[in-house]
Amino acid sequence: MKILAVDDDELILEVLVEAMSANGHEDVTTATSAEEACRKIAASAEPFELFLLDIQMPEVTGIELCRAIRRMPGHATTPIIMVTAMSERQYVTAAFAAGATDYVTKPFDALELGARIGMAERLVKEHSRAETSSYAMADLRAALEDQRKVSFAEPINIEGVDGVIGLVNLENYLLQLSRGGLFATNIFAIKLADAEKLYARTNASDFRYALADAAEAVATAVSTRDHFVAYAGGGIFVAAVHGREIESRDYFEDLANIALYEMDPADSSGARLDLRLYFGEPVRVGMLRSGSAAVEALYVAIERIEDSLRRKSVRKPQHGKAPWLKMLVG
Amino acid sequence: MGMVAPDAAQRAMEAKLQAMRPKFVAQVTQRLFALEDLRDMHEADPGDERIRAELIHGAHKLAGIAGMFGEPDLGELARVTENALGQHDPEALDRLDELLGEMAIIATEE
Repeated sequence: MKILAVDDDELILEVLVEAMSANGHEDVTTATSAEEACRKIAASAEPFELFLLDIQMPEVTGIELCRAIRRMPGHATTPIIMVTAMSERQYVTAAFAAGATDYVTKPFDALELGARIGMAERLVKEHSRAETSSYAMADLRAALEDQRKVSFAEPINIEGVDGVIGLVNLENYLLQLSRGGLFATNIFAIKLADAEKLYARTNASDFRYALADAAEAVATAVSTRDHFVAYAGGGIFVAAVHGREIESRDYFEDLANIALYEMDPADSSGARLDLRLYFGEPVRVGMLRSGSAAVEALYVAIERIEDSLRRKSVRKPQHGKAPWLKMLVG
Repeated sequence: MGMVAPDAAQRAMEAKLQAMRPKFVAQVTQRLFALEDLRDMHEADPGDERIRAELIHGAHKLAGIAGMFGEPDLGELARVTENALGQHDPEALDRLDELLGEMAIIATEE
């Protein structure tokens, strides 16, 4: 795997190179500044497959560099691991908001870093396999369409929406916060009503746009709090919302549905899509939940909303308008 | 790229860090001299935020690396100093002096 490590401390870079070597990775390029990193990325004949970035660097910080790399062609999904001594939540949150895939705090353990790089390597391989299989198809148009067509259950990365990140990134974010004991987090699972029917009757592109609209509506609803939203597949979103005493599920649900209504989502033929979101009860993640338990909270929240919707056969208004719609149109 | 057994990777890394120890000591020495100069400038003009930022940066970098070379207490002291300087804690200079003392012990290592 072709790796670029960036840190303004040359001794740290040496340690990183040795740690990579100890874990079987020999193709490591180094840079001591964001500017040098950008030059090396631009000049590289083969694209880098993993970035290791320090945060605290003079001139341009690692977070700014992370954001810049995400905008570069071919690096929208390349794993970026922040390797930094900044352990405060504000930096962790800023890094994931800028597009980081994972976060390792210094002093780091070479084995732990190796394990995290192993996870990143698996992501790279999966991405590469998807590209290879699609290029093998004869009809380019069909190939591109197929590449976008994923199974209903698959967690799709929704790009270009503030506060919305990949599911793996959200898991890593929760792990990092729990390691630092920085929790006062609520996990919501949110179901897009009749998502499976929508998936069946729309093309892949329209389904993705509908998911992006729904994700944006969820992010808008929780925007007064520090938050991240991810799409978990199966028509379900998860949102990590910070705060000890946050607003109710109903409040966020109303805001999200108002946001969706105002977006007036439509498919590629111009037909209006009647999208509706249901919020489950939050799972509160306190300091006592740590490590993988924090990530499990995501799946507890998902099970909770699936059970709730099964029991109630969806809290759909059978007659008249939904409360949020009445607020809008009277 | 081939996988490396965890125990072998750990042993290889420990040997590498041991071999790199003189570089760490040299860096601590160099940083000690720089921080001592900055400390005196900071004492003379505590309102100079550029000097404070350089002190914070120096302490931050040490906090990140010391633990990897078997000096977790030095790393923790560097982190405490970094936070104290960042929060304009009145005892920040005391913490900095403690840190410089610990750095001096490592700098005089044979």
